Amino acid sequence: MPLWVKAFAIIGIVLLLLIIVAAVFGDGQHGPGRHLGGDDDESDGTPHTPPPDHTPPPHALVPYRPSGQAPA
Amino acid sequence: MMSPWLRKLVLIIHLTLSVGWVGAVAAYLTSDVTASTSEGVAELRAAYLSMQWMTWWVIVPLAFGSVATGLILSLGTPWGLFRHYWVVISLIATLFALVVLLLETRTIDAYAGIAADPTTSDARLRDLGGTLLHSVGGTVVLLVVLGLNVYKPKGLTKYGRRKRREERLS
Repeated sequence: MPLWVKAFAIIGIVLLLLIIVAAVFGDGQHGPGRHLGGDDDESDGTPHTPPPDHTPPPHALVPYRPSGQAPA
Repeated sequence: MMSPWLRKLVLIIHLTLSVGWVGAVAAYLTSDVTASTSEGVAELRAAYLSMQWMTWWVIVPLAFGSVATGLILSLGTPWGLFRHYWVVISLIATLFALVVLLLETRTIDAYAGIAADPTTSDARLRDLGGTLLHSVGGTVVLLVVLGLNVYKPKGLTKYGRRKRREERLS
């Protein structure tokens, strides 16, 4: 096996291990779920529902599109 | 095996799609940096929505096209898919980048959904962050694959050596 292949293999294995370590020992909140407004997400003090007197900002662009759908 | 004329045509398409993928990720990075660093609410909303559009309409199609034409090119030419180490490593790295991209679309869709929601507060929008780790990592992987495809470093796999022996004997 050529030397450059061994170097690539070592770098690849190290990166893979780093990804696994980050996934296992990270904060456990990787991915979009941490932004989707679970109950425990209220701790940041940001309301998920608008207050009664809320008016949409003037720069509201387009209505919400459910995830997984490509824009038309 | 493909004829030289057809091989060149597929090569042109493959190069266009592959280099286009790198360019599209570079364009995506501009929105991603804005999403990660900007404090302006209008800029943030525009950045998250453009990230979603670029991902679904440009990056994902280019990625699938690049992988498909790469497979056609390797199987239809003497290079093969598992004969040379540079082809095998390119394939693994490209598939890895494609899988991470597809997983990342969930995050991008979630961000765009929050940004498009007019009831989302400014503080929540500023708190979202970006996807820089993945987009920068993806760019590095794609550039490494690009380098491998240009330099084509020598090195036959066990399968490649066996096939070469068989071809010489026959």
